[in-house]
Amino acid sequence: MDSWFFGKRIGIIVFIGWWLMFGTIHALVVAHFFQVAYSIAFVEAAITATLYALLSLGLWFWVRLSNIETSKITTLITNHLGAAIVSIGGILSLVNFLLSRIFSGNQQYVEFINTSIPFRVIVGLLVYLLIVLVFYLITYIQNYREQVLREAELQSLIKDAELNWLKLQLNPHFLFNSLNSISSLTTTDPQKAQEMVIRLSELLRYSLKQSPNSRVTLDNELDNCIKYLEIEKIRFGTRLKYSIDADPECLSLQVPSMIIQPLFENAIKHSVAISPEESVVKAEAIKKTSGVEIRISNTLHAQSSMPGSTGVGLANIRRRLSLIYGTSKLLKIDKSNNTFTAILTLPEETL
Amino acid sequence: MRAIVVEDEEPARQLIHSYLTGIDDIQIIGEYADGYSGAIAINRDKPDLVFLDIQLPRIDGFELLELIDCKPQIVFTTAYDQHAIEAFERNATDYLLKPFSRERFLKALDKVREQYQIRAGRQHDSQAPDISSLSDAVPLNRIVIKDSKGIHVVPLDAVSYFEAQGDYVMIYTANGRYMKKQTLKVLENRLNTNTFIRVHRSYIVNTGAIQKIERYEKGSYLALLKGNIRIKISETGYKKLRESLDF
Repeated sequence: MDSWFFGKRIGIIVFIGWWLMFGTIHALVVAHFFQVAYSIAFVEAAITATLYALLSLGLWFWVRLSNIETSKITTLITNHLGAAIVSIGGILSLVNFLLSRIFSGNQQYVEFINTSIPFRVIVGLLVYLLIVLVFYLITYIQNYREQVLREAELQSLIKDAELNWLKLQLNPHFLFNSLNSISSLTTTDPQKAQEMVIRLSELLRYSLKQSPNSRVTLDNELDNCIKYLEIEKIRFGTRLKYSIDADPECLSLQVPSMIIQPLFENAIKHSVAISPEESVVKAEAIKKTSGVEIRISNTLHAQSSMPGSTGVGLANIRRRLSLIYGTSKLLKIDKSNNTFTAILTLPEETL
Repeated sequence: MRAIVVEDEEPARQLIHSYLTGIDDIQIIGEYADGYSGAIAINRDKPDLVFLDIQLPRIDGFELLELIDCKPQIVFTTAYDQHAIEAFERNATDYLLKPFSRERFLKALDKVREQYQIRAGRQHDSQAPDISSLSDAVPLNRIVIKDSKGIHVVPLDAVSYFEAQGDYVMIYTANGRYMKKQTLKVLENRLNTNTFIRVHRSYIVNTGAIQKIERYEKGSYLALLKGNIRIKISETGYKKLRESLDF
């Protein structure tokens, strides 16, 4: 990016054209207003313009490397003021030295050089100011363009994330097994099959309606979890027992949608799905001063102490928590006796 | 034909039942809701056909196949297992993706009957489910073993090392050792190579169980494991350990 200005041919043309124009104007002004011979005026202009052009090259890199957004404006001004005084002083001394050497025989011109110093200093400072302003402007425009591009990219990333999010929610294994159950129930228990189709549709509609950032009331979210659990109950029968117990005062709290259901899914995956014995999945929502604590526990069977089996599901939840709240520490795991408990703390959000 | 259903969901079992009504040549002689009781029943009853789910409690469908000594025809019934499909295509008579239609189910039965005829002609030389070709598709996270005492499920992190003993592998854990009919090579392919390293022609070691590595003779080393066990490390094994453990 740093090379944008000089890297492109147009940048070089603009750069050279600008300093040619500056030199020409300089020569014309000196010749016209101060009655200096054109030949001398052009030599003076050439030397001055070349030195300023070199200075501007140095300034270009300084401007590109210093970040205008992070540095303090006062420091920036002080720095540039110092640099301007030093560089303009240096350039003018060099110009004066060179010109008095070249035209040492021309007494009148040497005198002019010395008397015009204040005028040259003012012009020099203005040139410096102009260079810096133009460079900052270019930098600003480029950054702005980059930002627009980045934002577009981010938007498409968010869209992708939303799609992935849907895939994540509709656990294919759950979906196809449920459909298989329905297929079976249509002959054995059509009433139940109908119930299950309706519950499954509601579940799908709920997850399609939500985006990764949307919020719902805890009441809504738990309601959705019950639908999910009821479907699992049809699949697993008496092996699955569940209970949900929530403090009435926290039901109206806003929580990220689809954040609790995966915890139930995880609890089922590590209890009912791996043991032929009865498993109990228990959920509690407890009001805390700063939000709500949700505890979801499941029976831990002997075989469920499988290595590395817990984690993938929970990792997804952690990633979402850190995207939403900026910390993944809101989800804690407690393994004790024969119970596995996921403890989710959701802060109360001011809307 | 005598069939066993191993399927943990009641509605799914009922579906197979309802699809089988009116079909006289296949009788369901048992239904089991988990892989463990399924494996025991298959070994006891020696059915001709097994309808087998993959995701099952206690022992999954693939593990069950490792535990049975008879060679029934296998029809897998599974909801979603893209990676496994390819693998079991070669090992099963058919596989049914849930939910499946009656037509699809009857087609599977036709294949079963066809196989049954072929097998009857060949008598004892029946086609065995070939487990070894599953090796690449299904990574291992525990090992199932059947011996005279019953079926054992050993989580991999409980294993300190494996020792080759001909066509068998001896599995050493803190609680004892188990013998399984499998070569060390086949086993090695299915293990996570970050944790389990083939340190010697005869040994695969769990890096988590290593406490110390000492020099033994020129070009060979010894690994000291928990429980004061020493196993030999070859020169290449030592190199692999160095790479993995970064020392």
